[in-house]
Amino acid sequence: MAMASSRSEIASDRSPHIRIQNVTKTYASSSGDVLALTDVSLDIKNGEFISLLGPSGCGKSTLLKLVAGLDVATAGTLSLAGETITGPPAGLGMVFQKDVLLDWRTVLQNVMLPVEFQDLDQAEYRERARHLLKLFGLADFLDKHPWELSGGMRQRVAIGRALVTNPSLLLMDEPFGALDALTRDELNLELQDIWLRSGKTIIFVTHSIAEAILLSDRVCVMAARPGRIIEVLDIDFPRPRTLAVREDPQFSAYTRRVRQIFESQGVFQHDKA
Amino acid sequence: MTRPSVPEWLRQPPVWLVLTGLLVIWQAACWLFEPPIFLLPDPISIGKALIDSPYTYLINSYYTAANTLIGFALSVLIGFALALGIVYSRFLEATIYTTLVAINSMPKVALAPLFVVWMGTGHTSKIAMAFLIAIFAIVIDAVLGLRSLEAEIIDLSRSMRGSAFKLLWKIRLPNALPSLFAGMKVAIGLSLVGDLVGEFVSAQHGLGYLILAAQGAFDTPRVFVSILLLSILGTLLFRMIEFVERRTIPWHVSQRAAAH
Repeated sequence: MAMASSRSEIASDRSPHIRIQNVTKTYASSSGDVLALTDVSLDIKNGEFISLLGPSGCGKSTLLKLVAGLDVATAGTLSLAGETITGPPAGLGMVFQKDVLLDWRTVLQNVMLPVEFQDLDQAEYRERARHLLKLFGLADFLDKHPWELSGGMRQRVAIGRALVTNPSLLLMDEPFGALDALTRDELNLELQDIWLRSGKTIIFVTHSIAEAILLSDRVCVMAARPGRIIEVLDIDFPRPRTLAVREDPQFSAYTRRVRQIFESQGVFQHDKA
Repeated sequence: MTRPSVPEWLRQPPVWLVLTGLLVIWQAACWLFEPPIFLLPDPISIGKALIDSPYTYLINSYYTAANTLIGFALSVLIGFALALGIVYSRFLEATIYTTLVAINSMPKVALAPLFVVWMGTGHTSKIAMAFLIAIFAIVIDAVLGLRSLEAEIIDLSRSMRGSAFKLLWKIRLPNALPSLFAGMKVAIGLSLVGDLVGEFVSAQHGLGYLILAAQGAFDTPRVFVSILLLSILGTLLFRMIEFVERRTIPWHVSQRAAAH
């Protein structure tokens, strides 16, 4: 797998792209302050695919929002390419669990939204938008409206919208969480393709152990109350990965490791006291 | 299988047939029981009253429609502007919104005599009533529509680093339209009521004026003609809003069945 080794070399040669240092986040609530994240540190390399994996309440979405500059850390620092993150940085694309497509816009117009928001050249980016949608098998749906599309197609449009301005950093917050298992597999592979071709840095929030292992270079296993990173696993499979990698004994070993961490944190306990 | 003998037109009779049937029964009842015409005129006498002076009804319908539409248009423009202010400014929310709620909780009909004192017996006092009675529905629904944005949409918009104006123009406004149209459909009927109240208090024109004048002369058929025209006018105004709505927001859930 020549492709795999050259990729990982590119990734490891660079200095940290995103640096998260001793980040803590508390939210005020009616019953006092809630500690959403405590003392989280993580370096993310340029072009890396990294997953934040954990149960609800572990602060994985909070961490993603901090990197996106949509929220401010209570303590600690976050930086992107050496610059402290104070707001949404340039070259950022986001995908959420909800596709949040705009019903009054066609598929193509939805993908063009960031271009309009950033006052970029419409004609130039319209070609790119068409190309992306063709890549996603949506060439015949450019002028359809979101409600005429299936869930998987809608999420493809949302990913197209995040990619249209060619951002260097893609943040995805449980993007496939609302899809059926088969569509999810399909989109996982498509996402890997895009990533392999474009070399973007991707931070991927999920609560699916299998999805995290399948896609990521590294998996950050997180725990709740208080939200923190317990362990960072290196996933050592060649690229491009296929769904068959899930039957690999090493895949089971990774899964077991993550499950053990979760068990030690009481994630799978059945008795709800 | 006892149903097939009932023909389709009887199981689900068309509207015109139902209305004609009611008129026939009404006419027959008037022939049969001969009530005094100033108590309950028969449909034929009402029809005659309309045909006798069509121009009077036309011009007075025009006045009522014009005052209603002007008052309604003002309530949409000013109401929407207020809603924007309320959504974007805590100060305006605390002041204007509170004031509006206070004004709305009093019976606005009671203000009509005061408006005549302030603005005279001309069109202005009617337009003002049509405006005042309708604006609350516009503000409430416009505020609701402007505020109904999912948290993810706000996050998305911020991540795209667009200006606040882009968010307003490209997302918040179109997203508020369905709610605004709901408010407008309520408001148009209220505007008509407002104008009528104004005409009842003091007027020289309009269908409300015609009703009062005819009632004073015990000319009940003319009262009925005016009421008939008012209900036609109200229906037309409502359908007009629906027409614009279908063309403006064909993408909304409520419109899709009609569009496809």
